[in-house]
Amino acid sequence: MLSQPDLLIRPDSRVAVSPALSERDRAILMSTRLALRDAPGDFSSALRALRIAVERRIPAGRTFYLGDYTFGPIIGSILSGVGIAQDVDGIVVVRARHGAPISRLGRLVP
Amino acid sequence: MRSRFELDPSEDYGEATPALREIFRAWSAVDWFVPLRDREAAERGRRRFEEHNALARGHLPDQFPETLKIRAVVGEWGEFTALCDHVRSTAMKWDWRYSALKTLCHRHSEAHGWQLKDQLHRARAIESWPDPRGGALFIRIFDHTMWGFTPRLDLEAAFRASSVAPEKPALDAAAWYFDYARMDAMHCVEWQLAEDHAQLAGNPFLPLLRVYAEGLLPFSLARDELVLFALGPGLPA
Repeated sequence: MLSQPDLLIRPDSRVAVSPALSERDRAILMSTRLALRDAPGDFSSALRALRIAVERRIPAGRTFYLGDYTFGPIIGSILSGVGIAQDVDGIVVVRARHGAPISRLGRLVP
Repeated sequence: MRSRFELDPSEDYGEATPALREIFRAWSAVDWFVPLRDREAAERGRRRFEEHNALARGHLPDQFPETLKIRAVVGEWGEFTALCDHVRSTAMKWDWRYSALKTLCHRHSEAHGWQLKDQLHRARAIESWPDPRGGALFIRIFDHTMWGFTPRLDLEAAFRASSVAPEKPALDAAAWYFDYARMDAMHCVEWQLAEDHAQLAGNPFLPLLRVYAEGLLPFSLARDELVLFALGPGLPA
């Protein structure tokens, strides 16, 4: 199981570990990563894993379409703006706040 | 600055369709982050909020109190940002959006057997999104169904047009506030879809949208304590 230090910030980390992540987002992303260990690394699997993680962590939790990224939609939380998207090097975590440029926070899985 | 959304004329949501169009008219009528027009607007907004609370209390009395302490605050962007920071603080034990509004909508949907995943047949495929026509409520990505109601608001343009240019913290706060309000519109629509009829009188989220339309921005500080904030230099006596 991933331990909390996996989600701490390391300058050389290629995994999404932004200090801007809330505790809730961090926990959801960690659950998503865990679910993807034995799953295919495609976006559909990641989307399913994210949805299940959100439903488990948040009462009546849902995922939302937040906008578009390099190769398709960003799916995540309206309230934090944190979501996942397909990029050239895999599935990444991004922040898509209303009215602000989309920022890439790192890869969802190493 | 308005964030318009109009249901595609070809979209059919059964008996609820006319009500959904009315909800989106209410949403599109909101002129976001503009100064309060007059005292009458403040009084109307207050009554709207009380109407919202009374309707919600009929369904979820443990989260919506019988009486509310409502305080009207007229201020500038600094006060708005401070209020946003306050209700976003993790030290806050009360979360109106999560504990009250979200639960209200979710329990109602459950009671009526309404589920988002059942909207798959109505959802527009993401490949066609954003459709130039727009106006679809749901989108489909693979076999996942999600809300497609994605109204936008050009906050920077809105602020450029205002007399006082707000700083970045105020822009961030406004973006955060607007996204939360967007959830209220979704809850309003979901409520009506679960009801599956055109009568809006019992929908507790519609009066809440009309609070925004009066130029008031609610901040729930506790279960029974509310600030109705309005931007502006203050109102004449």
